[in-house]
Amino acid sequence: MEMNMRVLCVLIEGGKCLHEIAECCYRWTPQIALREGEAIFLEVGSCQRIYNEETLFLKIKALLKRFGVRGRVGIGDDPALSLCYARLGEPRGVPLRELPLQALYDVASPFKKDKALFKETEQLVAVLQKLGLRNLEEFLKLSPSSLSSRFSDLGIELHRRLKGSRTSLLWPSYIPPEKIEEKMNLDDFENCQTLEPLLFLIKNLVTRSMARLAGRSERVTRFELELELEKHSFVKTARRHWSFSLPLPQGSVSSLLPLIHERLQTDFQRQPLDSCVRHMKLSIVETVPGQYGQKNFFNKREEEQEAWNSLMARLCQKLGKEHTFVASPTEGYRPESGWKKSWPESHQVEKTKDEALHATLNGIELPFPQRPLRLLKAPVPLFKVQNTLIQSSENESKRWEIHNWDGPERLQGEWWSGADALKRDYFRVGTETGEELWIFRIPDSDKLFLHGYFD
Amino acid sequence: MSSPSSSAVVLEGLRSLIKSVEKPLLRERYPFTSTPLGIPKGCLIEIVGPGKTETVAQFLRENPNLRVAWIEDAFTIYPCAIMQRKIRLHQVLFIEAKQENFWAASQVLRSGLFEIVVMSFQKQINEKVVRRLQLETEKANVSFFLLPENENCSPVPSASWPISMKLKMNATNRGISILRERG
Repeated sequence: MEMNMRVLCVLIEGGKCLHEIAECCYRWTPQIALREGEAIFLEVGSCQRIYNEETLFLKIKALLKRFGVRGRVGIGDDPALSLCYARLGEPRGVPLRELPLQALYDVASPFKKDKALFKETEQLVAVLQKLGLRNLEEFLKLSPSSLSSRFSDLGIELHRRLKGSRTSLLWPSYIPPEKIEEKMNLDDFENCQTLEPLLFLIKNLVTRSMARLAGRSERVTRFELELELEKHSFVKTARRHWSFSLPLPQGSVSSLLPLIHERLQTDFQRQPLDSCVRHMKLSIVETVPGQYGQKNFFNKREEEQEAWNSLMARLCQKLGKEHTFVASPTEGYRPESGWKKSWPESHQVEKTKDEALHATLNGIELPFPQRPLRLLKAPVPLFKVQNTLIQSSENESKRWEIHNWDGPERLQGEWWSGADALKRDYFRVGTETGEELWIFRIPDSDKLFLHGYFD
Repeated sequence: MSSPSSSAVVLEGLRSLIKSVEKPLLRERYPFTSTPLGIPKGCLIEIVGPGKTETVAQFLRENPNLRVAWIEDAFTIYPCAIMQRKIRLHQVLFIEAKQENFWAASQVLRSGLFEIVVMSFQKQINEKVVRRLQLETEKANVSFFLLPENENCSPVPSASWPISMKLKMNATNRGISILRERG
């Protein structure tokens, strides 16, 4: 490791959620190391132009709060000193004279608890104390030549490290787990059987998962939620499982929670939980790369895109992907095949052929009659009795008195379809009630069909 | 001690003074040639009668930069006709919501992504639903067009008080009558 580095140490009380918090810290620096069960080290010297130390302190504090753990932070020029400062609760560091000799334990092995090294350091500290030394400053005042005669190689090495010379200390890079899973035991919570309290707890899982995803610069496309219920004799299904497949990648808590809320609400109405929930697990199954850029103060594009993704996910989950779409024109002889459904990836649709077509059409009157704004999915047979049109179907019966009859407009094509070739004479029919119908007749026959309305 | 009549005079004077100073609260509006004051933002607008969809299409043509969510329970709108009326199709999100059209409308309003919502429906809606839509529309500052399939689907008069503007299409000459306009 280069000696002009700055290391931030996060000492976590009880070592809870160490790996998860370490993963979240990836968004600030790729150089992360762990002291198992105790602390996280971040090399922040290289990112000082992006985040200053004060900002990092605040972000770390917020992260610890999100995970519901307490911790102390220290920042120094090497991992050992930063760990010492964190232990003392002095984030910005203290003079060496304020660091006791016991700090040598951390200087000897900042990244792991080595029993053999600890014992050797303990002996060294005992000797130094017998000599009347009290703190690291006094230890540093010893001359290197005297160290070799009185102390072992360890003493020389520790002296060298504190002096700031290059050492052979290896930075054990932290590698995050492949899959993100957040679990929670609900033994301390009572009556977790209804939706609202469960959602409150699920929110914690989602928050942590999203923080870890942000650290990896990824967004979720599929995730699973599992609830384990208290086992009683009347409980039929002790494990409930939901899989969420997102049409667009999501990266924020506010976009996932409504989805979970909607799904659980529907499911619980159909099949309520038989007993209290004892354990819950959220697993991120599939992710895609997704850059979490800094917020742009001058426009809300990223926020709008997140809101769009969230809206699309909710609509697709409830209604189905085929029922939420933008339309685009296609080539086709039949009126009903003149457009197709497209999936709207972004709320900011780039100028497409449609825009170019629109620009071309602007100010130009197309050489064919106006089309009705309402088109039935399938043409409905009509009967003409004198001046009355009658629609008779299973569900309803309607009658219109004809006021005027304009047309015909012949549409034909698709000769290759044989008997299904398109051949229709379209008429625009005004009625006494003011409605305007779009009717077609099959040429050489009396068959009339209602195809649309000019509403 | 002042007499009751003098207090009443003073009160009346104060009221007229307040009225002269206070400006009436007016909503922002989108320009629209078919209505004198345009279409207000942040409220429900009901259009009934034959030609209602045509009126909405004309409004969208006159306001081409607005993002639109078009919700229908039974999807009968013809996108080619919309494009023919010089409306940009990519500005319109179509939602075929079937029985969940009010839920879909609520989601769209809460997203804050659309300036215009058009909802065509075939079943009568009750006061509770109308009121909820009105509150969400106001919060989102969206112009929400209600297009009932026919007069029977229109909210009953006792339930239609949250609707700020009601337009009726004239069957004979396709003109527009403003039946109600508030705010």
